[in-house]
Amino acid sequence: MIKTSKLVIPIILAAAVIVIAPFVIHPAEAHILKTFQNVSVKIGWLNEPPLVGDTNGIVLYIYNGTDDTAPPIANTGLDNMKVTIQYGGQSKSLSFDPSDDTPGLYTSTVIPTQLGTYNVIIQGTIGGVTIPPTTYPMQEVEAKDKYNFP
Amino acid sequence: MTMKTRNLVIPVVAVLTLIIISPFLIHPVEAHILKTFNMAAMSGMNMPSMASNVSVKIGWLNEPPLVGDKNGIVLYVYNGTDDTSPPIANTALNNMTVNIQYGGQTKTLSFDPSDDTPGLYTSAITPDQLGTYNVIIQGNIAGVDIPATTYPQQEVEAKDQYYFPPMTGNMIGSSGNMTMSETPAVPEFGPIASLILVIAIISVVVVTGKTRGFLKF
Repeated sequence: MIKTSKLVIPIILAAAVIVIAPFVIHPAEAHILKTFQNVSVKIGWLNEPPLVGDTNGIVLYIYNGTDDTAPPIANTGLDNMKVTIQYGGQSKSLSFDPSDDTPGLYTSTVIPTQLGTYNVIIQGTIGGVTIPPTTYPMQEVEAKDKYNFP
Repeated sequence: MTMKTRNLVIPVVAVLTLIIISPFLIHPVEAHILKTFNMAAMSGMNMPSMASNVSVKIGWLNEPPLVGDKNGIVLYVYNGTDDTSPPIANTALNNMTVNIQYGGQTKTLSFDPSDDTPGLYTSAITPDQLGTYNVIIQGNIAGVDIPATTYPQQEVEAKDQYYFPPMTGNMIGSSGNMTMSETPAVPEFGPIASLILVIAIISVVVVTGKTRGFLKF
């Protein structure tokens, strides 16, 4: 009996952590860089914080190296890539334009219509390097209300 | 049908097909457009402060331009034949008139030079109609006469195609009024659902503990 009651307290504590976690842990932060062999891909929102209903975009940087100081892969980086955005059970394939001014930068316009976390999933090849399906959680889309002033 | 007539029919059909298809294939205008203007030769005059070639590049500040979104027209001025030439900063538009045109309506734009990018001038504008806007410039830049010149701008698009997820009702947390589409709603399970689930699990553990006797409180 004592053994069983010793089990209950950790169970209740674990349950409490599960309840509190969504409110404490911020799901995703700013721009995320991931490296695949010698190619790095950094993805994030164009305007941060992303606000629901505001015209925004997904920005994607490609580098020929293991960090964002490596030389960019301009213009053709996404020729053999599929990039989708996902929210809840819905996903949409994104079409990117290379930047005229910043080599290695690609943008796709998106207007988020719901609060919460969106994911961007990339897959394909960049410069001969195979990119497996990889999920980038985006910074949480927020309500505009908190930024209204007065 | 003679051989000669048949030889004529094929090119005519091909040309007609091309004419019909071309509006769908050709995007009316693209991004920022650069045009170069030359100073007419002025014999016997030595004016070193004057430019012989001036280039002007014009486009939307934010692309694609979306109807109802605050945007702007950006205008770059270069002292040369391309956009790698030195910029003409601050004063380039002092003797210029720049108009924006949509349908039969025209508005004169007022530009501010950029603090950060020499040769860049911006004018805020919110396009409130779909379609193609034209920017028309005329005047004089650094001694180079600029005849009335039209720059067709990238087409202003509807926002609908960029909504994600597609609109199913009012946007929670958005200040503006948004349109509704016919797309069926997809239920979302947020933190409240996990909260209810965990409370249910705790309740089951507590109730079981009480009834089986391993919880005493």
